[in-house]
Amino acid sequence: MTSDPHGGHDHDHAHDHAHDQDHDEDHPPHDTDAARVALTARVAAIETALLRAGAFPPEQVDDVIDTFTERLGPRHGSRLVALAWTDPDFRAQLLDDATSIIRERGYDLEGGDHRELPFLELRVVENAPGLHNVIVCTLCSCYPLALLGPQPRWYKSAEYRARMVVEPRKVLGEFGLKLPEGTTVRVWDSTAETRYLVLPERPAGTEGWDVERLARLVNRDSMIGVALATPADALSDAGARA
Amino acid sequence: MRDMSAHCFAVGDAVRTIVSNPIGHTRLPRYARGRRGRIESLRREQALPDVTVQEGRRGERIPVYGVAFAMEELWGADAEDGAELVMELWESYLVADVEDGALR
Repeated sequence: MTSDPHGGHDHDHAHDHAHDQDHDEDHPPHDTDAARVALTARVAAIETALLRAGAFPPEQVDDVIDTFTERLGPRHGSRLVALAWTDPDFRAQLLDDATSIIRERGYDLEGGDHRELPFLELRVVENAPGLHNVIVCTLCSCYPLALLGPQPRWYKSAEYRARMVVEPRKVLGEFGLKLPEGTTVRVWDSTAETRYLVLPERPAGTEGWDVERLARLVNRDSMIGVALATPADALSDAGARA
Repeated sequence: MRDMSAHCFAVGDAVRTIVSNPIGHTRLPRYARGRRGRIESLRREQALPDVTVQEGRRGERIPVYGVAFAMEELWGADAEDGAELVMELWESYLVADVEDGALR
């Protein structure tokens, strides 16, 4: 355990490598195909050995994969944000104690399954005129996986983790995010058991939109803080891609 | 709903992180050791991971704080303007910054 740099930090990480099929078009993986093949082979060998040793039943592997690919994911985060945009009371509760809301109501907020957080605490941090929040984990790759799905590859990269705490404005600029003059960037380093979700600003021109439509504007990167919510006039395009 | 009675520091308090160099796991990043910050928020108590990982038993639950740092406190003259940093730290990583009044 002590040789693990994560120190058993968090089961968010359990499937970082084994089932990460994440190919982010904007930020291509910097490892090679050969490295990926070797890693996949190593994971398969470990999985086979563990199954043979009876460490866990095969169904459990499928169940965990299913949880992280089907039951959890960014639609939950998007819905939280869209609800916060439309319901001031909910927004206030979410900013005050997001942990309790999820534990009481589940990720879908409708009393469904998955009230168990795969982390101890959830904190929602709100962007506002003059303030932009962005999330990083310098120690490993802590991330609100249940609400955003598996981490994008760049989030786990040494470069993002090292540079975001030193020169966040420059890094955000490289993501294509140009913030207005005078905006303070607040970087959140996920050192403890809290996972952070950024509540982006509601795009202009969305007055009267319902929660479902608004949620389509809430892209994953905007909830990490490396992008803004999708502009209203880009929605048809975003919908076509989705 | 949230019991913060065990917390020694209050929001706005000036604190300094300890300097340490443990052989095993800690959640006080090296870049934030021995730095001055301010209590940004009080968080629920959490088990101290240093104990959990280093000693193989569940660490005691102690208060956790959001602590805000000025970028120049972390990076000196090379700091980027217009940014600040918050991390959550266990109370055992923090001491009161008694020099705060004199230095700021």
